Parts: sequence; structure tokens; C-alpha cells
Amino acid sequence: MNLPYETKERYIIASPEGKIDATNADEFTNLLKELLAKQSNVIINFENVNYISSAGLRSILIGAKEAKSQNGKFILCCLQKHIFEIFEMTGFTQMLKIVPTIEEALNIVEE
Amino acid sequence: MSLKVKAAILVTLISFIFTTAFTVIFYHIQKKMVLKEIGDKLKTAAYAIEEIIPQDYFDRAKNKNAISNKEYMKYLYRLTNYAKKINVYYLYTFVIINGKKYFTATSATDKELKNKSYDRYFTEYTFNPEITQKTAKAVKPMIIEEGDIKYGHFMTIYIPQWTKKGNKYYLGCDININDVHRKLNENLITCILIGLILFTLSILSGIWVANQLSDPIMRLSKYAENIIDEDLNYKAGIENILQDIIKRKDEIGRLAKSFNIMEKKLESYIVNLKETTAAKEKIESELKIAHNIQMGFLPKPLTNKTEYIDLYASMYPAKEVGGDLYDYFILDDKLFFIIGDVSGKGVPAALFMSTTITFFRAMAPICKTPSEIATKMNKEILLINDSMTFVTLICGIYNIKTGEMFYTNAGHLPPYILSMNRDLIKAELPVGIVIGVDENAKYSDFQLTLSHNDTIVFYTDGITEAFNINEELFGFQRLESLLKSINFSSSEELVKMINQEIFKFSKGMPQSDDMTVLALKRC
Repeated sequence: MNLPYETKERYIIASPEGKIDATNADEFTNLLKELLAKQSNVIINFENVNYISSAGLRSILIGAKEAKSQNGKFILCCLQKHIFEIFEMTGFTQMLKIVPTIEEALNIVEE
Repeated sequence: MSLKVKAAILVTLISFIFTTAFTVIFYHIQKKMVLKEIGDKLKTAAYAIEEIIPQDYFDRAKNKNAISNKEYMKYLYRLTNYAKKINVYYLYTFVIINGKKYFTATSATDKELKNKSYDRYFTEYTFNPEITQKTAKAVKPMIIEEGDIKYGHFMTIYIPQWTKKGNKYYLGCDININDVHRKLNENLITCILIGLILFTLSILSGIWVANQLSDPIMRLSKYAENIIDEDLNYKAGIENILQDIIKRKDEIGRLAKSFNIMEKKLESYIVNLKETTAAKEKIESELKIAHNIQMGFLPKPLTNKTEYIDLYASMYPAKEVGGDLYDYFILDDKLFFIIGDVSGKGVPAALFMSTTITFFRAMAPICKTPSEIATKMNKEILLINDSMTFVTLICGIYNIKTGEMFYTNAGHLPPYILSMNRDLIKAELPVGIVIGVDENAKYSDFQLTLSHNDTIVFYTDGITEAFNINEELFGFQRLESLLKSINFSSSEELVKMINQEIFKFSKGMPQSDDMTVLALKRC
């Protein structure tokens, strides 16, 4: 899978695209780990993700756990409605920092 | 058509063209030579007359009666002898006076001698006056074909000569035209024979060369065919069979060498492939066993208490084994049930699935509420979960006599309740975090009551997230309209129809996730 990202001084914004499912979840996990090795604050822009399976959710959990161990911030933003519902249904909204816009995500990182 | 036949045809054609051309040219050269030879012979013979007849004879032989019969006959015999000796038909001399041609000396044929019909001195030659006219003007030797009814048909030379006193006379020599034709025919036959021999030789050598070129290629191709026929088990080895070809330094040799390398690589690939296939088969057979074990892990259909409930469930893993799970058992009128989905699929999910079911079976009977079951399972699973795998699940305790159900939710999808009058209600779910990742997760219980003939349908995301060939999700809406439209007489029928509909929807696509449906009807 392709994971385009932008590196800033205090954070990285990664923008996955399309589906995150069992076929690419491992790869996605590894890419997230690589980003977290460079920078502990990571924002995932979900704007272009139109499907996420449980395997993809696990990748996000691993990323969040890794960021937490580094005292970094792991923030999801711009989730499409049906994707947000999945996070809600699984209770992930309670565990993860999820915000509607990039600006809000940036505010949290800049705090 | 094989390479060999093609080469042979080509060689034959080229040979034919070249030998034909050669034969024609050769024949013409030979013909010229033959004619020149004949011309030379005529000339030599004609000039020889002057060795036999002295100059003064020609000075005198200018009119009738100038030469005595005795003298004439003397030269006739001499010329006849000489003509015989050098094998010409006639040797003679003549003069042309006022356009008329008179013989002044001649040889005679045997027949003429016998019949005494030879020409006498100053006999006029009356045939072919136009040739005679031409001859009269001649200043150098001329060779012509001339024929008449009296003497025959000849190749002839006329040589104009002058005596020292300036008297013009002609030397003549004839060769039978048949002799000329015979010589030319002989020449033609010789040329054709040589042509045929050349043709045969060139075809033979051409075929030999074509063989030399095509034979190794044919053998290579035969070898390749053998390899294919023998299912790549052709053990003889190219080095042994085509040794001579490999040693060649030309393109064919290089081809054979590449072939040799290719064969070796192919062999190693096949060995590799066989090993890989064997390993894969082993894994597949193990996975098949694992599948059976996993299916055996799921509960058997309920046969007791069926006067109160009709319960049926199915699980289709996307791969041989999957991470979906369901379980149920009855203890003292209480039905304990669970439906869940381990994140991911395949073997890792299956291992987790079996653990989850085991925990459920162990803990459910000692818990008072579903939330307690979930909390305990979460704690236990957290202890063994370094991989951040998680489980979404709904578990519940249902009183089979009263229809009262307590249930809890850990990040799972909401069930539907289908009433007898076909109303469809999405059951309310307490918010609950998935099992296995959050040590502080809290679970709460909701309660509902099934009326008689109400059916509650639980499912996993393999149902709602089945993709069709256009990459569209099956989704909740389709599921809802399906549930509203289905006519079913039993939970089993309902579950099977849902599965059937999903398989129909995602036809042509690989199953994207494990699919589980559990339907519980209050009778």
C-alpha cells in the first residue's frame, strides 16, 4: 500500500488511501511503525479512506499503543461518516483521539 | 512443413535455376566452338586445294576447253583422295564469269565415281543464283549454308583468291549439313548430361548442407518435444544426447548451450516447485484439519428445549480457518450465547478465536451478568495479548421460558429483531469497547424481551461488509430489506437464506471476511 505523508517539525501527517483491510493491514502497520520511529506525534488523515476492516483497526491500535509508549500523540482526523461509525461501534472512539478536521488535530499537537 | 523439407525445396529450386542457366550458356559457348571448329576445318581444307593444284592451272582455267580432261581427272582423283582423308564432302574450285558459276576442279563422291556422274570441267552450277551473285562480290572467305537437289545440303566455305596474274578464282569446301547437325546434337546432349550431373550433384550437396544445418536444430527440437512429453522428467540430459551440437562454435552450438542452461534451470525450478508444492500441500492439509477442528469447536445444533427456542447459527471462514465465533449452551433454562469477531482473519485469528470461546465457556457459567462475562474475558485476554489483536462480541443470557434477554456489547454490530408481523427493529446496544485492548474497559448490560415468534438475528461484519464485483458493500440497508422480505419457517432456513443472499451478492469476488449469522427465535 502507499502511505503518503508530510513531515513537519513537531509531527507527521500521514494520509492513507482506499481500503485498509486484511490484505494490506500488516503493511500499513509497518509503515505506521516506520513513521513513529521518526516522529512520536502522528496525525492520520482519514479523508481518503473509504473502508477499514477489523485488521485495519488493529493497525491503528498498534500505532496508538506505540505512540503512547513514546509519550507521543496519535490523532485521527477527517473520518468519513461510515468510517467514524465503525470506530464508534467498536468503542474505539473511547480509546483513540479522533477529531473532525486537520486544524483541530494540529491544535492538539501544538498544545 | 519441417525445416528440412523447406531447405531441400529451396536447394532444389536454386540448383534447378543455376544448372539450367549454366547448361544454356554452356550449350551456346559449345555451339559457337563447334561451328568455329567446322569453319576452321573448311578453311584449312579449302586452302589445301592450293597445295594440290598449281597456280598456273587457275590462270588457264578461265573458259571451256582450257583444261584437258586428263589434267582435270588427275586433280579430281587427288582432290577426292584428300577430301576422303580429311573427311569433307566436296573440295572444288570455280570461277564466276558474268554472274555464272563454273566448276574448274572438284572432288567426287564414291557414288559419282562409280556412276561416272561427277562434274566435268567447266560444269555450270545453276542453283542458288543469288548466293552466286553474293559470292561474286566476295573479297574474303564466306561460310554459308547452302543446299540444292543435285549435290545435297551443306555447310560451305567459299574463299576468293587471285593468281599472281590477277585472275580471280574460288576455293570451295562442303561438309554435309547432317554432320554439322549431328555434332551440334552431340554437343546438346553433352551439355544436358553435364547439366543433369551438376543438378544432381548440387541437389545432393545442397541437401547434405541443409541436413548439416537443420539436423542439429531438428534434434534440438526433438529433444525439446521429449522434455515436454516426458513432463520434464527427461533424464537423459542434453550433454549426452546432443554432445556434438554443444561443442559447435556457431550459433547452433550457442543455442544448444543456452538450451542446456535453460534445462538445468528448469530442472532446479521444478525441484523447487515440487518442494514448494509439497510444503504448500502439507500446509493445506494441515489447514484442512485445522478447519475441521475449528468447526468441531463450534457448538452442535440444539436438540433439547426446542419447544421454547429455535436457534441456528453458521460460520463461513474467508480462508480455511477464521476468526469469527459463536457459542451457546443451556443451563437451567438459561441460554448463554456469544457471537464474536476476532480482528483479522486466517490462522492468527483462528487461534485467538479458540481462546475466546474457551474463556467464554469457562467463565459464563460462573458469571451473573453478560457484562461480567465480558469484563472477565477482557481481563484474561489482555494478559495474553501482545499482538493487539482484539475481539468484538455480543454475549448474552436468555431465559428460554420468559423470553427475557440480558446482553452486553464489546464493539460489535447491533442485532435485528424480526417480529411475527415482520416489523424489523435494530436492537439498542450499550456502547462497549472491543475485548482485549483496554484494561479499563467497562461493559454494561441491556435488556430486552422477545415475544413469541420474535426472531433476533446476530451477525458479524463479514455479512454487512461483503463486497460485490463493483466493490460495493452489502451494507445495513440491504441486510434490513433482506430481513424484511424473507419468508422463513425456521431459524435454520433464515440463516441459510441470508448466507445464500450474501454469496449471490459477492459472486465473482473472494470472500472478504469470515461470515457468521446466529438466529434465535422464541417459539
